[in-house]
Amino acid sequence: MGSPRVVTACSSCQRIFRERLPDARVDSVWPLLAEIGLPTSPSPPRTPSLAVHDPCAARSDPDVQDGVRAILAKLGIEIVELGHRRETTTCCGYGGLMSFANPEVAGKVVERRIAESGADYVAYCAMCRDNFASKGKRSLHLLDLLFRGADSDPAARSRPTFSERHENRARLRARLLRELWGEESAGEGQRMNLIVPPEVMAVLEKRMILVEDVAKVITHAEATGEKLEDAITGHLIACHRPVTVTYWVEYSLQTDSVVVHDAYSHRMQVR
Amino acid sequence: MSESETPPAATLVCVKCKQQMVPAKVTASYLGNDFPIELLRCPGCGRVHVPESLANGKMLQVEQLLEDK
Repeated sequence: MGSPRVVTACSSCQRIFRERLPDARVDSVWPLLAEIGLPTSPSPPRTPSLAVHDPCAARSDPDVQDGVRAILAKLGIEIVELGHRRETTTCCGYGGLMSFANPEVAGKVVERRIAESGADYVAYCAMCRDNFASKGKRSLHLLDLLFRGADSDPAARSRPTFSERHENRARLRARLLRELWGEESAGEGQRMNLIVPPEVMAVLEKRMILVEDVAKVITHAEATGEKLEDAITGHLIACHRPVTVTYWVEYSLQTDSVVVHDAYSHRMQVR
Repeated sequence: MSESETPPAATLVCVKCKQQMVPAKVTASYLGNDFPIELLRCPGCGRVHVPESLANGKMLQVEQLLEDK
């Protein structure tokens, strides 16, 4: 690829690129868009005004903060400034991976931030938007306003599950490979028909287990025959340790699908 | 981690060996620490079952304790 110009929408990505690849040309998409012009099919918000949330990684980048406000002004949106903004912006609850290390504290940080204004929020970091949405705050990502998507009311979108986020990334990567580079991604079209009931999906989300990890366990068990059977329920129980986490899955085989009943994990090794 | 974690009415069968899982003394290890524990094991292939109550209970507590050390 030579030495391409890197353009990021995420301020954390931009910061890391600048720190670790000081010779590369890295720009934020926001001042760039404000300068070159906006896409021609914007998607107007439901409300005339939006409260801007600056992500922590953009704290020391006034060009990015200005670019975002310039885009909103061009879109004719009235900007509500929060008490903590720009260089004194507050955390959305994701910073320092707080939502993983201490979910309780992270939850309080999110609640404090979303209580600062009754207006719908617009963020320009996907993690910030999703964190606000996780507590029911109507929130948009700036890209939602620039490109019309499938959602008629993107501010009402809930936070994607870990599996959905993973799936979205894989789908985007496959699409870019196909449409821009004319390549097919490996592994496409070989998926098992996995049925994960909503209550089990909620358990996976809470335990931070990806559907993909569950599929790996079942694939491994069915390929090797290494599985247990519960004689009472008839459920199969299998485990697999791809790297440093052992995943256990309880499942049943149907004619053309696999039903997942439970999944859990541990890091200890047992011999 | 030292007491028995064997489910009372264990009815697990190792599909590969077609043998019933039986209680056995095994070792749980993490970050250089070993913990003796009794769990269900296949007498044929030695496969051990870690029940959910253990993984999400004491095992998780010990993992977090050792990680925080």
